[in-house]
Amino acid sequence: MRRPGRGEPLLRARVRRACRPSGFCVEGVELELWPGEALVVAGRSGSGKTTLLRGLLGLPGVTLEGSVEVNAPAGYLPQEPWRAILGPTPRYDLELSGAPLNGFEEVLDKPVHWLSAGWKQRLALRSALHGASIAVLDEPGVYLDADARRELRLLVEEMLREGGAALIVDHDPHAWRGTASKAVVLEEGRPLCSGSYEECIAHYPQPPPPPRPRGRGMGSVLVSARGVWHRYPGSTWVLRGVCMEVYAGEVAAVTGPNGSGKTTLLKILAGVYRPTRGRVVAAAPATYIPENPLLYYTGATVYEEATWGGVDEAYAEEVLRRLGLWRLRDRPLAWLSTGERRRAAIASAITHGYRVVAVDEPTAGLDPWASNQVLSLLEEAASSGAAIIMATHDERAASTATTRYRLEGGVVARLP
Amino acid sequence: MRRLGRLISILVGLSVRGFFEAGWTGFRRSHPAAKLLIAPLGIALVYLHAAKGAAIVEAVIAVLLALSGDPGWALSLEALLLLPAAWAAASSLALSILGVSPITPTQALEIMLRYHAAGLAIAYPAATINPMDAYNAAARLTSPGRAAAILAAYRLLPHGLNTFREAIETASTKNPPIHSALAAATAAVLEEAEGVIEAAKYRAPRTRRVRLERDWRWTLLEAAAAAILAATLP
Repeated sequence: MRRPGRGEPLLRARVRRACRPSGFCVEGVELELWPGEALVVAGRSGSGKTTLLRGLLGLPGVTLEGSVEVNAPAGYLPQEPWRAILGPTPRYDLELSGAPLNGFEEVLDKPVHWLSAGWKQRLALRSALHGASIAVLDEPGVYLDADARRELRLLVEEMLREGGAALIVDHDPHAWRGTASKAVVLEEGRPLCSGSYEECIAHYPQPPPPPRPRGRGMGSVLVSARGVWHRYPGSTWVLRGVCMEVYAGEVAAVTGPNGSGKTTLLKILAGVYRPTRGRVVAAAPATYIPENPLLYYTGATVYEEATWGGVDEAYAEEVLRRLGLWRLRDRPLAWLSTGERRRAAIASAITHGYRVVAVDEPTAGLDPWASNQVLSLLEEAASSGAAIIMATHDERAASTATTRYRLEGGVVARLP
Repeated sequence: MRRLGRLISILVGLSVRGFFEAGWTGFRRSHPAAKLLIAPLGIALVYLHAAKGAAIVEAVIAVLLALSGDPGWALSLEALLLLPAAWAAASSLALSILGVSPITPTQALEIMLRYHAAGLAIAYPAATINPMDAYNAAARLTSPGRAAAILAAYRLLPHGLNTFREAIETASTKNPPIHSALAAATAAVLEEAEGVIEAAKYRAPRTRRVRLERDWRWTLLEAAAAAILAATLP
């Protein structure tokens, strides 16, 4: 591992402008990272965090004016950590980087795509950052449950103790209190504050509280699971005797650790899978919106998606206007942000008259503001008589539900 | 759409199970030379000795599959190969009924057996090869950083297949034309590929060649299988 010379920071950047081809630029950011320091780059969605990071790393899609001096090997962990995994199994992935295998014994020879999000994150962290003195982490907590986030923080702190440094992009800078010593808060491409963590976090706009669950009366049962057991060919039971009922007007949240079977349960309730044993009865048309909303689309633009299959155009327009998506109607779905994609998918489910909407991780990758827009939309759909079932590990999202379930060990328990 | 979706979903599931998930502690650690010989020898045997050759290939590879100790994997591979074989037999029979190149039902079964055996001879090495062998070989020829492209591509394959499955499963609740579900999946896979390549580019310069631990029992078994195929060739 190359060590910087005396009086030399691990990373020094003077960014005059870092620009996207769309014309959006981040301007006037200066930062330095010394051994043992962690710097958090915070800001709302669209504030330029990722643009700055990509500019600093020299990744494609961003043109940088200014200077970036990297005086030690850097490891980069993208927002989707599995993208940094190269080996077909954890053993080979770790060996490719020369990283130690300890701690991975139980998954060493499993194909990477079998691993839970938490294991993938741990693996990517170790192998992508091994031998690096600077850890560059883009929204590292997005796909992690609370335990895995704690573990991530400990890993970063260990790296800092060993003389490394970390540059962390996170829309939740509060998660790094006690670990980070510096922060840059961005707003619309400009630094609102750059300096000590405590000082800058005081400038960070206070995230809004999540929408409160409405105390509406619930209607008839729209979907019910009776003694549902499920397993994939060649695997153990994922669900064991699940019983639950979801009513019209209800927002039900299913929480549970990474890999606990939340997505499988959602797919079964939406009729994507037939349970291995037991029954699911749906009294209304059901649909499933996956974690990657891009996979939900049939049309190429927001408007086409909302109207395909002969939906009344006046009704679609009314829904899109009400949901604040009308101005985006002609934008190709591939150009939308993650939050806009999710909102467009939910809008499409509404215009097509689905009364049971199963949404997987509706707030993953979104800041509290964008997350609130999606959660309000789900509330809106429930108010119009739909039954919403969401799988989430986001406590904010779960707190907006009228009913909460916990799935662990294949068993569902209704929380008080 | 729902039925077609289920069928495609099952096929994708079988492909991922058959080609990417098994043998990481066993046959993927054998020396690649023996298993790579199985493909040309098996095809030559089916070509030269028709049904008899096909039966030998089936028997030899069936023993290897049985010894894998992973019946789920073996059945996935067999089931996957049954489809093109059954299609070849059925279409030949259909043509025969229409008066083009008449065949008997027994001959149709023979066609199915030969297709299945030839498919198995190709699929076995493809499903049991260790991409790390290809990476090490390419790293020797170029550099570990450049060779990492092989691993990135290998990582994307099961991911891409699973993305297609997810898109089709999702579409099964919406009932759109199948091509639109595939378009959505393609867009998602391309986006993912871009991300993987980007991350790989950043990580690749720090990768190194990996010393692979060999499983000599499996190397011997596959060498024996290749030897049997070669011995029955003349």
